[in-house]
Amino acid sequence: MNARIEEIDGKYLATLEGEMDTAAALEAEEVLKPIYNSEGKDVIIDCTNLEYIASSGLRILLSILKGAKANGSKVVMRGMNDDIKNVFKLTGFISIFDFE
Amino acid sequence: MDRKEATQDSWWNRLRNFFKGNTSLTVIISAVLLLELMMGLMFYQAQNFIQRTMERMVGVEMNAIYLCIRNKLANAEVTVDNMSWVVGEALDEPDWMLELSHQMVKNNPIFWGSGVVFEPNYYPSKGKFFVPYSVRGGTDSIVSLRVDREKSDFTQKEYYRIPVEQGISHWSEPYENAVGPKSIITTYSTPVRDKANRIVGVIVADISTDLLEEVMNEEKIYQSTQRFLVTGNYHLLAGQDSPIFREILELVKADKDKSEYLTMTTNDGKKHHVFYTLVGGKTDWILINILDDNEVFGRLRMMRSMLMLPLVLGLLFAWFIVWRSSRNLKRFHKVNAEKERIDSELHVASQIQQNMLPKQFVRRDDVDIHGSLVPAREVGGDLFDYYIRDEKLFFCIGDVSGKGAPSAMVMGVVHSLFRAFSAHENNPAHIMQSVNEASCKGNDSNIFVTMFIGVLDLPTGNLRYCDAGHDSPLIIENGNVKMEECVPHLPIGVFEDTKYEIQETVLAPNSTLFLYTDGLTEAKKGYKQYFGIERVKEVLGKCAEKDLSPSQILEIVTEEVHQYVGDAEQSDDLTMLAIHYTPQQFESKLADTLSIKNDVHDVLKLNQFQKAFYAQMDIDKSLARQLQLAVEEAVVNVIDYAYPVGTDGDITINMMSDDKYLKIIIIDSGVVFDPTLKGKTDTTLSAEDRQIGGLGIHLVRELMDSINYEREGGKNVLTLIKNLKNH
Repeated sequence: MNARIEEIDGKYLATLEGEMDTAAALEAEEVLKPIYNSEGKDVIIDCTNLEYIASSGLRILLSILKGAKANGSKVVMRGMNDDIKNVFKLTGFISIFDFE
Repeated sequence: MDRKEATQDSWWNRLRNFFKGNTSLTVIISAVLLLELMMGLMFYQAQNFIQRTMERMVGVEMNAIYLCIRNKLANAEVTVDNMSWVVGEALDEPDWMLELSHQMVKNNPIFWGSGVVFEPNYYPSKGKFFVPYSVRGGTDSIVSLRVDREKSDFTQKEYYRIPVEQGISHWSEPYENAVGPKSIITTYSTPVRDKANRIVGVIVADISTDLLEEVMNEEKIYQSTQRFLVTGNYHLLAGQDSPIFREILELVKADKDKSEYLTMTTNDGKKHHVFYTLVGGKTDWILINILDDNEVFGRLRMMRSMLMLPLVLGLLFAWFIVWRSSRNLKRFHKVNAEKERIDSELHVASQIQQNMLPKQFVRRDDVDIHGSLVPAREVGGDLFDYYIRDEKLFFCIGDVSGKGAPSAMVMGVVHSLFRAFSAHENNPAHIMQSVNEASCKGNDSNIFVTMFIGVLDLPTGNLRYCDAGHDSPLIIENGNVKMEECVPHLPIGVFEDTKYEIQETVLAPNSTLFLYTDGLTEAKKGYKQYFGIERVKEVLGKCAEKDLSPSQILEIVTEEVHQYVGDAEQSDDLTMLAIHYTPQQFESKLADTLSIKNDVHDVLKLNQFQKAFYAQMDIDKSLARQLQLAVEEAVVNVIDYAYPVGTDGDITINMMSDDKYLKIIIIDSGVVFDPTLKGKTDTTLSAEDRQIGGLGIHLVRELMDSINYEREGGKNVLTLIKNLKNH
C-alpha cells in the first residue's frame, strides 16, 4: 500500500495505490491526516491504482470529505475500479462523493 | 294543467310517504276504518231489524185499538141505524119517542145520550122544536127530557144539518154537550124518513170522548207511545193535546200520499215515528200513534256508544303495541346496521390480524415451519410469529387472556413488541423481559398474555427459549413425543419487574417442535369434556410414526379436534405452530484454518491466507475481493470489540467450501460479542450526518449471504456463509 499527497494548482492530490486493508489504513492515515483540514482547497483522490479498501480506509476518506465540506471545498474521486465502486455503492458513499 | 298534475302528484306522494314513514299510524287507521265499517254494517242491520220489529208491533197494537174503537162505533152505528127505521114506522106516536130514547141509552152503555131530533114544526102539537132526548145523569140514572127551548135552533147543528141535507149517517166533530152533565161528545146521527121516504129528522147517539180516551189509554208496548184520535177535520177526539202533537198533526195533514208512516224531528229536537190509520166505518176519523225514537233506538245507540269505549281503548292499546313494535323494529334496524358496520370492521380487523401472521411458511433445507390460527370469533387474542435473522429462527406463540376485540388489540401490540425487541436481541428471556415491561406500561385493563419465545440457532440446533406462563411445547423426536419442561414464569402484563430466565436445549436433527395454545387442549365438546394434552400427545405420536411435515401435522391435529368437538361452538382461539428441524451436513471439499493474534497487523496474514484459499477455490478476482473484505471486517470487529484494550488472545479462522457454499467460522475466546446485534447503518445519510463507524459489520452483511453468531463453550463463534452459485 502506498499513499502520498501533492499540491497541484492550489488543489490537493492524494494518490492511493495497492491494497488498503485495516493495517495499511493505519499507516495511510498518518500520511493523509494533513488534508483532513484542507483549508478551503479542493481535494482530488486518485484511486486509479487502488486495488482494495477496507472499512477503515473508507473512514479516512469520510474524514477527508467531512473536513473539506466544513471548509466549503470539494473532494473529487478519480479513477476507481469496479470492485471498490461496488463497495462505495454498498456503503452509500457513491452518493456523497463526487467523481471525475 | 301540468302544474295541477304536479301538485296532485306531490300531494299524493306526500301522503304516500307519510304512510310509508308511519307504519303504526297506517295500521291503526286501517283498523279503525275496518272496525268502523263493521260496526256501521252491524248497526245498520240492527237498526233495520228494530225498525221492522217496531213497525210490526205498532201495527199489531194499532190494529187492536182500531178494532176496539170500531167495535164501539159499530155498536152505535148499528143501533142508531136500526132505530131510525123503528122511528120512521112509529112517527104517529110522538109521545113514545122519549121512552124510546130512554131505552136506547139504557141498553147501550157506550151512549152518553140519545134521542130523536125532528124537523121544526113536525108535530104542530109539540111546538116548533120537538127533541125527545135521554142523557145519563148521575150514577146509573138516565134523564129523559124534551128539549124544546125556543132559542136553541139545532137545525144549524152539524149532527142535524149534514144528515138532513145529505141524507147520510154522520159522526160529528167533538163539541160540548148542551144538556146533562158537561162532557165533550161526538154525535152519530142518521136521518129518519117517513113513509114517503122524506127526511123528517135525525136520530142521534152521543158518545163521550172520555170513552175514546179510555181506548187510547189501552196497554202500550212502547211506554212513550202517544195515541190520538182525530176527526177528518183534524179536531182532537182523544189524546193529550200538546204543541208536539200539533206539529205532527200538521205533518199528517200534509201527507198527501197517506203513507200511514212518517218520521219527524219536532222543534224540541226529538225524533218521532208517526203511524196513522183511518178508523173507517161511517167515520172519517184518523188514529194516530206517535213513538219517541229514543225509546225504539235508544238502547241500540247506547249499546253502540258503550261499544265505542272498549273499542277506542282497544284501538289505543293496539296503536300502542304497534307503535312500540315499530319503534322496536326501528331500533332493531339501527342495531342491525350498527352490527353490520361492526361486523365489517371486525372483518377488516380479522384480515389485518391474519396479515400480521407470517405470510409465507418458511421452507428451507434445514427448517420447515407451519402455523395455524383459527379464532373463535372474528378476531382473536392468539398470536404466533416467526422469522429467520442471521441464521436464527425467532419464533413465538402467545395467548391473550379473554377473546374478541380487546384481546385482538393486545395481541397486535404484543406481536409488534416481539418483532421490535427481537430485531436486535438474540436472548429470548431479554426479549420477553422487554415485551413484558412495555406491555405492563398502561395496562389498566389487566389483560395478560401467556407467551413462549424461542430462538433456534439453525446451524447448531441450539434452542433457547423463555416461557411466560404458556403451555410447554412438545417435541417429536425419534418417533416419541416428549414435553419440554419449562421453568414457569408469570405471564406478560402482570408485573413490570418480573424476571424471565432463559432455558436452553438442543433440538436433535429431524425432530419437530410443536407449540399450541390452550384452545387446543381445552377444546370442549360438552360440559368439562376437554380434548386434553394426552389426546394431543396421542395424535402427535401417530404423526411421529409417519414422519409427517409440519403442515400435515397441523392438518391432522385440526381434523382430530374437529371430530372430537363435533357441533359444539369453538370456545377459544385455536393456534398451533410446528417447526421441523433438519440441519444440513456440510461436507467440505476444501478446508483450511488460520490462527492469528488480536492484532490489526495480523490482518495482513489473514488476507494472504484468504487469497491463497480463494485461489484454490478458483473463483473470480472480484468475488475473492468481496469475500476478503467481508472476512477482514468480521475479524477486525472481533479484534476491536471482543478483546478489551491490552488483552491478548487468539482468533481462529476456519474456511471451508463445498461446490455450493463457502463457510467461514471465526472463533475467539474474548468477551461476549455478538456483531449481529448491531443496528443497521443508514447509507442514505449525507456526509455531514454519517458516523465514522459502523461500516464494517454493514459490509459483512451486505457481502455475505448469512451471518450467524453463537456463544459456545465460552467462545464467540461467528459463522459467515456465502452461496457461491447465487453470485
